[in-house]
Amino acid sequence: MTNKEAAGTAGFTVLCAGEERTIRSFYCCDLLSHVMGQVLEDTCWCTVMGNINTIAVATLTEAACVVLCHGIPATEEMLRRAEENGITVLSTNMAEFDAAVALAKAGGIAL
Amino acid sequence: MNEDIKLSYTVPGDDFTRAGEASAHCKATLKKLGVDPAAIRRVAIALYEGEINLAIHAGGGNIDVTIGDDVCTMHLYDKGPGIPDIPLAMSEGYSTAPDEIRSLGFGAGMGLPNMKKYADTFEISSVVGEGTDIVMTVNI
Repeated sequence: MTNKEAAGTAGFTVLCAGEERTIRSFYCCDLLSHVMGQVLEDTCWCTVMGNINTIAVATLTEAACVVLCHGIPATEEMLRRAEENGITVLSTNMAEFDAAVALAKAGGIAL
Repeated sequence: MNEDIKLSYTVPGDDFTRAGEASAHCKATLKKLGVDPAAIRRVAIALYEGEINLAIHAGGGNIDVTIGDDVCTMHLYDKGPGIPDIPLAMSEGYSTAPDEIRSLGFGAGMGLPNMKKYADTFEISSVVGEGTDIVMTVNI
């Protein structure tokens, strides 16, 4: 499943459409250093951290996309940086784990 | 043998919108040089953790990066408060970051451990009241 396909999944809206990447795994976490320490490339990262640092970490870790959960808004600065770096940002009202499960089911990706 | 590439950065204190510029620039430079993406990722993450530490704990600092034929050397130094107990600071989960920093997603106590994890060599020295000096390398 690509991040573009994920963006079309029911319950998700696009805040920033970045470069197309294939989602290979999921990670739910809000602590940036844990993400940097653990996350694999091409991960769909589900978080409530809607600030500019999220994009820095998504860029460094080569994340497939960021999903902002619980309807948390993104700052303008975050979305501007996401656009500059080609990072896809989605929004959902779901909790992090529920969002990962929904996208994994939609994309036929094993959790 | 090609001549080494030298890059220098100044990291401002408490400006988290700019922290990340050194790692992003270094990453772009390594990419242009055709370095293995896995090695670039390790350099970028180790350097970003270092930048964040300089911004949070040291009131800013400096980073010198040297890119050689087969190794990327990163030297981070500051004139901050120093680290009284390095083994404690190196242990996963230990953090002295204040609450407002934690609310940004930092302060998990994984910064120094991540730097060591992603670097091939990692050396740290610190004097309380004088500052901290870190040299780490990643084979490229």
